[in-house]
Amino acid sequence: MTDSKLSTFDRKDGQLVIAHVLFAFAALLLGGIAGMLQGMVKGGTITLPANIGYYELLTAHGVLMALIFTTYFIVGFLYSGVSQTLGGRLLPLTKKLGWIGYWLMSIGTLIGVVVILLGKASVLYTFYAPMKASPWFYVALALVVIGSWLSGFGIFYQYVQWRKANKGKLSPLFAFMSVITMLLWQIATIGVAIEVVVQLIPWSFGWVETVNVVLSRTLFWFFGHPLVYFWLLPAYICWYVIIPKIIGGKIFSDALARMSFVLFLLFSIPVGFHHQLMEPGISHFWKYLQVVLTFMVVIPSLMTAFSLFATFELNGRSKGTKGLFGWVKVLPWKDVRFFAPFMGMLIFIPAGAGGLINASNQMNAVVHNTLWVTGHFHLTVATSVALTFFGIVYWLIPVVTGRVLTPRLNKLGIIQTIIWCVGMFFMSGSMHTVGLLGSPRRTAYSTYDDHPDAIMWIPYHVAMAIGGIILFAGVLLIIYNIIALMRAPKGETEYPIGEVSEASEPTPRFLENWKLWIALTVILIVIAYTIPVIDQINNPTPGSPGYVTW
Amino acid sequence: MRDDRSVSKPHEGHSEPEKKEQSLKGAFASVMILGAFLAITWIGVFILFVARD
Amino acid sequence: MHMHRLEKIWLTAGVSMLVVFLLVLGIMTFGRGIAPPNEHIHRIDPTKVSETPPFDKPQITKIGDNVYKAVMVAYAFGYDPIPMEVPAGATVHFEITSSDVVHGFEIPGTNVNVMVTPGEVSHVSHTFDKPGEYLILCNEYCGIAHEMMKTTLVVK
Repeated sequence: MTDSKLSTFDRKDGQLVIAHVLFAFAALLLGGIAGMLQGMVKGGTITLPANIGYYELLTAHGVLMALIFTTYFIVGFLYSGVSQTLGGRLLPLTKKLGWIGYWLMSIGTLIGVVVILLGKASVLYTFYAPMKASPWFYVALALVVIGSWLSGFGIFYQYVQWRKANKGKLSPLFAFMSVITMLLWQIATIGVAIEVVVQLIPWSFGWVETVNVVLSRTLFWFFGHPLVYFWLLPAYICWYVIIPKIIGGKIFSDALARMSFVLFLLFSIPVGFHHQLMEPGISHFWKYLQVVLTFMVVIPSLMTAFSLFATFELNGRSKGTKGLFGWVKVLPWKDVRFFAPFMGMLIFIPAGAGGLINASNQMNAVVHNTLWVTGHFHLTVATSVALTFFGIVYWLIPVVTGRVLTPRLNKLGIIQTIIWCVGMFFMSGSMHTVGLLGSPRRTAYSTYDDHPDAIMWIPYHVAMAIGGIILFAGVLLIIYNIIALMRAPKGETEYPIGEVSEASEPTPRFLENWKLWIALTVILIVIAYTIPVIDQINNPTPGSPGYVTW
Repeated sequence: MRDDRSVSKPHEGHSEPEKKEQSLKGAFASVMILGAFLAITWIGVFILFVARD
Repeated sequence: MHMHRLEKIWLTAGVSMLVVFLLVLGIMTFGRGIAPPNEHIHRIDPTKVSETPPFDKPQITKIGDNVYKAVMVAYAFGYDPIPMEVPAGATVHFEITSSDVVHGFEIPGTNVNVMVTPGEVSHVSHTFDKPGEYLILCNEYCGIAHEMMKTTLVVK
């Protein structure tokens, strides 16, 4: 039987969740406009008016999609699950932290977007030194990060209070996974915070003459890799905790799900060098060591794949299906709350395969800074994660606003999902291919003086543009669906939290031993980073002054 | 495959591990296909890398 | 923690595959010298590139039998020296630094693909068996004319 149905979702908590969700999708819309224009420029179909630069658009696209859309949605989604599972209501301090975090992030976002669109920060979302943006760009980023820290503290506080009031009880799976996610974020952002606050802000204000470029890159990628797991883990929360409920099944194994998240915490961070494999200033040994650690972070995804297929299969068998793949038949393909996240899962297979290749030490030379990489992350974050997030809104908005999903909106959701997959197939498929042929990423329209290599790339760039236009149609449709959901008929929607299968083993308590996991995380970071970073500080790359090259 | 099936036990409890032994073959097949995809794509790019050297 | 037999088999297979990949990559790196670029750490003051040998005179010089050294400077938005020409079959050891921001140095169709970071010198080598005009482009965003930053290497 289902859990005693909790009373309707707390209204005030719902406002906090909706604020985050709507801001996220506003960012998606703006970022999507930029992305479509970029694709059309590269495809040779349009030239931009004189006052908009390609690289300005690209900076806006990266920041809005990869930092704002993601972070806001994640915080909103996690707060919803924390409210639901840790007592049915956010504590006053948690709510306060949630709102202060929201406003800080939003002020930061606003300042950042303005500075970018004024052309003072065309440095892309990785803002590599010694390109030097307006100091207000870095201040804006700092505000977003500090805001997100407060959001994380809110979740930690609620969790700690729940543990105190429920001594000896296993914490709800959603909450446990949320704590891991925000803990990962807090630790990872230390790197970029140091880069921005200690190095870049003083340098961009002119208080300091030069910047150590290699160190700045190392600090950024200390953050940049776990960033992608910050995106992925909330999608995994949906796949592990929500999807079993939606398909009418059970969670395969609570213990293994927690174990996989612990492994993500341990191995997502000490791996940043795999984004720096083609750089000078870091030795082979440390690059290879971090490649080994990167391969270890593949393991919890392999575990997750098994868990998900097992959930589907056991669900099928409990409903009488037979054979190796009979369980496919009883999955709710016509339910967008399943279908969209499922497509995210499916596409994570080529997405992950590409990631493994990217991290493969010297093999990275085949793909580094080519459009293959762009194709890769459009599969991972822009499809697996994004489609999962899209699938979530079809129940999340109704739950937190006291409404119901209508069959018409469900249908539109299915259509939106298909449009997204078709567009991404053309765009990312072309990107992967033309990347292998050498076409560089982050590059505006060019034929390199009609060089034969570059001419060969053109048809793929055109296919990318077509894919991008289809995707933009998908963006418009999800925005329409969100607005429609906000105005859907009133009613009660249950928050779909999965139950654990009876056959699942009891969860060992050591999985909730935070001191142990944080200690191990720190130890791994120390092993992977101390010596190379100390070397970068003691034998520093001679510092660079700032350049405004746009 | 093991011979536990010869033991006849009541429906719940004891036959669970047995049921699980049999009934995750679809999951296993699916992940092995996934694994093969990872291997094939990796080897493909590896060959490209070696060929270009 | 109990794990289903088939999951154990799957993870064993998966981890074994990862180990095999790592061994191949490791042996190539540490045993055969086929490694990521830039092992040798070689620094330079990025504000004095035009005064610091050998980068004060970017050029290709022959250093052996069909072996060349190409000392290059990357800048927004081009590469020195131009033009560059070598005979077919030549092995070229590129030594390149940046006089301003981070640039890329990519030769499509080859494994030459390195970052050029101000303050550091990048080293990468390639043997050009086939004649042709090889495109060398910057694949690291460096500013407003990034998409025009390129040069060519003619292999006769």
